[in-house]
Amino acid sequence: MRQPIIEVENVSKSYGQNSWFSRNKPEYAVDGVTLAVNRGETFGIVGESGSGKTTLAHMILGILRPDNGRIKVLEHELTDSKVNLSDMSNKIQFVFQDPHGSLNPKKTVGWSIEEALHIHNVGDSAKRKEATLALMDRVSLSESYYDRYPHQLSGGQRQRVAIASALIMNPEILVIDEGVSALDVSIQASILNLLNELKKSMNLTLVFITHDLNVVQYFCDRVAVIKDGQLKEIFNVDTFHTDPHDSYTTHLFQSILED
Amino acid sequence: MTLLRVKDLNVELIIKKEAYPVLENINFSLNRNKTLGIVGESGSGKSITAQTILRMLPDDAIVNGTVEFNGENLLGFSERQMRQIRTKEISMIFQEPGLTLNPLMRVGQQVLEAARLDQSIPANKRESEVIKMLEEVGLKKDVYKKYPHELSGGMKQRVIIAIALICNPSVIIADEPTTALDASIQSQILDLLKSVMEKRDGALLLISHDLTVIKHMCDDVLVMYAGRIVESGKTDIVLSTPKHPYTKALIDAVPRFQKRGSALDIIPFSVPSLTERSGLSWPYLSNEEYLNEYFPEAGDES
Amino acid sequence: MYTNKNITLNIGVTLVSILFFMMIVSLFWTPYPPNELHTSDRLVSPNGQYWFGTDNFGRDILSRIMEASQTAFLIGISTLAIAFTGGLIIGGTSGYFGGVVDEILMRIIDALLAIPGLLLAIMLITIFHTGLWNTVLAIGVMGIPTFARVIRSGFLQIKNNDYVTASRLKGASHLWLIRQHILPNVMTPIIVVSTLYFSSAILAESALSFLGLGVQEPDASWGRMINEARPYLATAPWYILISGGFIIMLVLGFNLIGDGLRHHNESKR
Repeated sequence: MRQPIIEVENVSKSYGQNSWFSRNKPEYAVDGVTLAVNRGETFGIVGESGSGKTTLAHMILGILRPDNGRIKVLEHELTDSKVNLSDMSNKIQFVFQDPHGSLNPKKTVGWSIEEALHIHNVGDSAKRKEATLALMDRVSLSESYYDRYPHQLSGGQRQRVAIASALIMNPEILVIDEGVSALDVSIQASILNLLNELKKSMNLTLVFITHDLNVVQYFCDRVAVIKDGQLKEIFNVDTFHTDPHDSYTTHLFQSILED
Repeated sequence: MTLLRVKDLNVELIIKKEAYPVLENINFSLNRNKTLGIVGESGSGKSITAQTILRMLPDDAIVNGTVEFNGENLLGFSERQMRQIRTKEISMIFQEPGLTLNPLMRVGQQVLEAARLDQSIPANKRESEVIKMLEEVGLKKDVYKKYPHELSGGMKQRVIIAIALICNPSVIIADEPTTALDASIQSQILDLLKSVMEKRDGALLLISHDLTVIKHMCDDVLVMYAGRIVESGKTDIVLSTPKHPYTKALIDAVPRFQKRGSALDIIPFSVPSLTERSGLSWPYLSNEEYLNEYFPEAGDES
Repeated sequence: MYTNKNITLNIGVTLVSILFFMMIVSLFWTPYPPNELHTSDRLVSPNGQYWFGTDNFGRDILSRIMEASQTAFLIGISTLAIAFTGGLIIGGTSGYFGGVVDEILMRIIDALLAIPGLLLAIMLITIFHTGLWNTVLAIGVMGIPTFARVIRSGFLQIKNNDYVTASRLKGASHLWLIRQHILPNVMTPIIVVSTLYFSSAILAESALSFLGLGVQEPDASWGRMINEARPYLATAPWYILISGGFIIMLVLGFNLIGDGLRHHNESKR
C-alpha cells in the first residue's frame, strides 16, 4: 500500500459576503472534497475555469485556510492553527500559471532561484551560487542567465527559472498550476519532459492543476475531476478508456476535439 | 470561388531603423465555403498575416505583394475604403473576448452599434435584427440587456461572433478564437463559427497554435515558421503525412495518451527571433536538398 | 514624445545641478560674509562689486542667496525624509495588511488631506513655535498623506503578484517580502512623487518664511528675503526679482525632473 502524502478530508471553502446588512447564501468555491495523493505519483486536478481547482490547491499549500474539513500534508496538520507556512515551505512548493508574474522584475535569475536559501540562511554566498548553477544546469538554463533579468527571457525560460526556484530546497511535493498552458507546443513539450525527468531524479510528487485534457492524459497517473467545487470522480489514467465514468467526466473528455 | 487571394506577400518591420522581414513569399487563397487554417508557434507570423490583410500594421511597415479581395487589391485602398472592408466584408475575431467588449455598455447596444454601420439594415429593424443575431449565435434574448461581466467566457465569445456577423461579411478571420476558453466550450464555439459561415456561404480563416483545433475545423492548412509557409495542403493529408520536418516535429510535440511514459519529442530548432533571422541559415528554412540532409528520416515517412 | 521627455528631464536636471553646485560652493565660500553689514552701501543696484546688489541693511544679496540655498536644500531633504518615512509606515502598513487597519489609517489620511497643507503647517507652527526645525516638521507632516497614498496603492498592487506569494511559500517574513519584493517595485512612482514634493516643500517654506512663520534670523531663506524686499519693490526691484527668481528656478527644476521621469516611465510601459 502506498503512503498518502497529501490527505484532504471533506474540505470546504466559501466566499460568502456576510456583512451586517446582508446575509448572502455562501458560495462554495470548494464543497466537501475528499482526496488523497500518494507519494511519488503525478496527480492531476482538472476542471473548467471557476470550478475551484485553484482554491483547492491554495488550501493544500496553506495560503488559504478551509472553512471546514482537514488537510494533512506530510504529517503536518494544516488545519491546525499552529502550523505556519515556513515549517512546510521546504517540503511543498508551487509553480504558477503565468511565467510573467511569477518572477520579480527587479531581481536577477540567480537571485530568484537562490531566494529560499537566503531566507533560511543556508550556506554562504559561494555555496548558494554553486547550488544555483547546478540546478540551472538541470533545468537546461546556461550559466550566462545567472545575472539576467526576467524581461530578457522567453516564456519557456521564465518557467524554467520558476521551476528551479521552487526546487532549490529539495521539496517533496511540487504543485503546478497551469504550468504549461500559456506556452507554445514545442516549449510545453520540453517543460513536460523536464518535469518528468525531475520527478524521477528528485523523487517528487507532482500535483498538476490544468484544464488541458490532452496534457492530463499524457502526464498524470490519477486525475480528480472537479465541477462547481465538488469532486466528481478520481480515475486512473492507465485504465481511463476501459473504466466506467461519471457522466460529467465523460462529457468533459468527449469535448476534446477528436484527434 | 476565390474570395481572398494573397500573392507574393512580403512584409518588413522597422526595428531601430533597420528593416527585418516578418513575412516572406506568402501565397494562398481563401475560397467560398471553405475554412483555411494557419498554424504555427509564436513568432511564426500567423497573426501578422491577418493584420496585413486588414491593413492593421504599423505605418512604417514595408508591405510588398498583393492582397486581392473580390478582384481588387486591398493594399491600394484608402483608409476610408479599408474601414468599409473591415466592417462589412472581412471581420476579425480576437483571442480574448473580455478585452474586445466595452465593459460599461450593454451587450445588445454593442451589437446594435455594429449594426449601425450597415446601411442596408433600416433603422427601425435594427433591434430585431440584433435579437435575431443573438439567437443565431445561441444566446437567449435577455442577454441583450446584460453587461459583459455578467456573461461567461463562452457567452462573451458568442457576442463577439454576433458583432462580427451582423454586417454579413463574406470573410471572417479568427485569431485564436478559443484559446482562452475551456475545452468543453471550445468545441461549441468552433462548431458555431463553422456553421454560421457555411450558412452564409462565406470563408473562414482560422489562426491557431493548436493542431487539434486545426484538424477539427479546417479544409486546408498552412504551416508557418519564422514568417514563411513551410507546408500547405489539405488538412488531413498534411497532418497524417507531413512532408516538412517542422510540421512533423510540431505534430510529435503534442502530448497524447498514446505517448504516456515516453518523453515527448522536442522541436529541435525554436523559432528564431526577428533580428536573428536574416543572414542565418536556419535549418528549417533551408532548401529541400539541405532539409533531407538535416532531417533524413522525414522524407522516408511518406 | 521621445525627444520631449528628454528635454524636460535635461532642463530640470541642469537647473537643479546649477543650484546644487552653488549650495556646495556656499558651504566654503561666499563673496562676502552673508550677514556682514555694509552700512554705506544700502540698496545698491547690481554692479561689479555686488553682483546682485545689496539689501536695506547693506548686505550682499548674492552671498545671502547662496547662504539661503543651503536652507532650501536642507528643508527639501529633511522634509522629504519625514514625509517619506511617515508615508512608508502608514501607507505600507495600510497597503500590506489591508482590512480594518487599512480602513482606519486611510480615514485618518483622508481627514488630513481635507485640511489645506499650508494651513496644517501654520497650525503646527502655532503650536510648536517658529524655527528651522519646526518648519521642517510642519512641512514634513504636510507631505505624509500624499506619500501614504502613493505607497499604499503601490503595495496593494504589488503584494498580490505571484512572485510575492511564491516567496511567502518559501517561508519569507513580512519584512523580507516588503524589502526584497514590494519596495523595489514601488520605488519608481515614489521617486516621481519625491521630486514633485521636494519643490512644493521649498515653496511651502518660502510661503511660511514670507509670512514670518518660517526660518528666523539669522538663518537666510529665499522666502524671507522676498518678505524683506517687499517694501522696496519700487526702489530696489532687483532684490525681490532675484530672490523670487531663485525660488522659481529650483521649484521649476524639480517639477521638470518629476514630469520628465513620469513621461519616461509611462513611455516605457
